[in-house]
Amino acid sequence: MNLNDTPEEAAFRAEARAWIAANRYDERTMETLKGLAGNGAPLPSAELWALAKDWNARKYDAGYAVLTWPKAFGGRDAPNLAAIFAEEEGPLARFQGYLVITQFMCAATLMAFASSEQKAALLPRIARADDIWCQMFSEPAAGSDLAAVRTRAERVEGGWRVNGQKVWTSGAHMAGWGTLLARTDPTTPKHKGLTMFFLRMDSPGVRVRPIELMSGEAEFNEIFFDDVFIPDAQRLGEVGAGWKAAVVTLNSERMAIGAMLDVDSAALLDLACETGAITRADVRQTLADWIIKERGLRACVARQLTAISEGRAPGPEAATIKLVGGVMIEDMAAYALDLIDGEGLALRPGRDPRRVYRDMFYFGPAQRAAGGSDEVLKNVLAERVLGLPMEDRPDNRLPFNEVPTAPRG
Amino acid sequence: MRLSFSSDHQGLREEFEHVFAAEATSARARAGASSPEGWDRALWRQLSELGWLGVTASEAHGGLGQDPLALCLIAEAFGQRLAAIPFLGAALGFADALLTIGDRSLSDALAPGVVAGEVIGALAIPEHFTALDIDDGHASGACPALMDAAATTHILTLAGAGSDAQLILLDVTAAHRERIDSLDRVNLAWAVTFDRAPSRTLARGETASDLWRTLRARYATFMSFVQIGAASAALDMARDHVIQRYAFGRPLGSFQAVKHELADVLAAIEIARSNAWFAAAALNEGGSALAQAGAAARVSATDAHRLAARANVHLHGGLGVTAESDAHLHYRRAQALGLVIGPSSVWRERLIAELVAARAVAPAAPQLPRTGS
Ligand SMILES: Cc1cc2nc3c(=O)[nH]c(=O)nc-3n(C[C@H](O)[C@H](O)[C@H](O)COP(=O)(O)OP(=O)(O)OC[C@H]3O[C@@H](n4cnc5c(N)ncnc54)[C@H](O)[C@@H]3O)c2cc1C
Repeated sequence: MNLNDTPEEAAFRAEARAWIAANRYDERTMETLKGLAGNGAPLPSAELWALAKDWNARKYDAGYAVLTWPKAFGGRDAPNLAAIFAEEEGPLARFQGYLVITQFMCAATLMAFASSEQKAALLPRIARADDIWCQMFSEPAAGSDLAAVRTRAERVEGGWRVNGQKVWTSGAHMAGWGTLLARTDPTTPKHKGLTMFFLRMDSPGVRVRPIELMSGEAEFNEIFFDDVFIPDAQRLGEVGAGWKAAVVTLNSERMAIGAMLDVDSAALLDLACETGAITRADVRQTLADWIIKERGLRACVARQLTAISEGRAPGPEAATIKLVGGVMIEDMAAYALDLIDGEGLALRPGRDPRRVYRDMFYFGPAQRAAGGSDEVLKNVLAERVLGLPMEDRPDNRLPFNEVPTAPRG
Repeated sequence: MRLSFSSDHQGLREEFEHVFAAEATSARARAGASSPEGWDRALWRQLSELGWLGVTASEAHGGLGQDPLALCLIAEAFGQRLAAIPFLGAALGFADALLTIGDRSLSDALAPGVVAGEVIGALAIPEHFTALDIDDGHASGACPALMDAAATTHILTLAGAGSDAQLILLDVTAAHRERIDSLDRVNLAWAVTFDRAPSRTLARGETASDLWRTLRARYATFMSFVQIGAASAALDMARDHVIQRYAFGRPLGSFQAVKHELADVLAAIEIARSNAWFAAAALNEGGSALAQAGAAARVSATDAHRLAARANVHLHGGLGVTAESDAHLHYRRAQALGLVIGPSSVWRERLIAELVAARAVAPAAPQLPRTGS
């Protein structure tokens, strides 16, 4: 129990602070990045991606990228140092969000299943973010029920031929590579007929179409596969063991944690003070509740980091953080828009710092769905932590091609 | 920042649990509370003989000489059981206050009695007195409802405000106590009145109020561990019930509505636990971080405990609302513990007041409400 840095951490913090001060962008760019999602004159998405890659490359060249990676792959296996670096980065820390799928999800799968030559060729480029990767799991008929993917991979000479469709794939429009979960055997129960692959996104037959979000941005995509060839050497894990590989990807949060917690009750307190609403007793009570919850979330992250650094498996913290944090973003956004009253209805032209609440308003629902929805997380907590019985599910027993689907037509 | 308890601390907790779990059954708690004395003096003696009433007291005073982090985990283990003993006020709040006040003659005089279970202290917030007149080493007054007061021999409180504030210690051994209809049916509240009880002023003015704030935040931290323990006990009871009870041909716990209600409780407990651990670290370090941390721990522990206790009653169906089931004992306790050192609204206001005061810019002038409300 210690609220302060260890001597090693304090030394790292000082070193990181000095390096960041010497290497960060000019004041104008830094100002634009404040609350990234919420800046009043948002940079075009392509520019933000370019900055995210550039900042990561600077970090990599100085030894500060992928601090959570295992040492064998060039990391420091130090989630605590990554968290400290992010604290010191300030607004620049938001760039990590662009690279989570590349550096944590996809990289974890490669670390576990790729050949040593593949790892040697691909991981350093991932660590420097020279390559962006995407994760092609979800489909129109497979989201929460991920094991229901239908994109079909069939054996052909030297590899596999892939046909089907993926959807909600974050960053695919920027990605050079991606991991793909596909069905290789539709005649066995759903979890058993899956296989994991990776491929270049410019492979012939791959078509990426951005999907516009409610915010107007287009950060995720649908992807069509039309007789796409994947060499068998780009299979990750055994044939039929794709579910296991997917679980490795989904559990790679060990490397991702500390990276982001998108609640900011301090900003809401600022707003309440600026508008004068802070003199209202009801506002004070509500804000105090959020501040308390946010403190709880941050301490929860610290507990998780501590558990990892002590070599223990973290408990229910990760699911708790996402479950509680997601709903909070929605609640706080709605409350903030109410607080600014009539002005919540429309943004002023140009740079409006209040855009941040609008962005939270858009981001909350995405956060509650992506990477395991609230309901799925509650099932995880109830079944895996509390030990409540699973629901009886016929789909686990039946061959996949006999599992009932929604009526057509 | 590191938030974890050492294996030594956990080992000590397990030792305590080993003894306490065997003795502190709900049947015994009910019997103790409904006995003529209204509490379980035998269990109290047992714990004192094993040293558990003096976890942080020095070995010279007969205590175990442990740090406050150990006491946090013992508090959580205490919270997990129902027991009609004044552990909360005496072994947590008062025992810790004696150490924190740091007055050698005071602790030499009282700490050995605390460890022996004969000095049974309580921290009472000023709001819980309907009258308190102090003059010349004596005090007269009344507390219409004080938890565990059947056994209480000493009360620590803050009287007056500003430059008139005094931190006082009342000897209420001879006070009059009256059984009342207590919300909590295990740790009963009693009406206490005292006439010219011996009173000692431990500090005055700003020193007294500062000290009181510290004692209160420390007590809130220990209490948040008790509440988390109690919340987990209610959650466990609910979980065990929904796993073994069948309806519609399957366990209740396999229905998603039930799962999700309990998952929400679990998440609330994890947030509360995180806040409590942070507060424990702040308390152990002794810096100024405790004021906010203690308030946060207090509010989220109260939320989690009440949510857990309500879910437990609800998921027991008809059984949950009976006197026979323990569910109502948890439900009552969750409400009562949330009140002992002031309700959450007060703690939230303390937190926000500190944060607003700490802001560089003063808040804008009050404005008239712009919306309908
Ligand atoms: C911003 C964003 C980025 C994403 N990025 C990626 C990506 O990069 N790669 C990728 O593969 N996927 C990605 N996804 C997809 C994401 O994983 C899915 O959206 C998510 O798993 C939910 O699946 P679904 O959209 O099919 O909704 P559904 O599964 O159809 O769920 C709809 C609703 O039903 C509820 N529900 C579903 N099943 C149950 C159940 N058993 N019990 C109770 N309620 C249930 C859900 O909680 C939800 O509220 C992204 C999603 C978002 C929002």
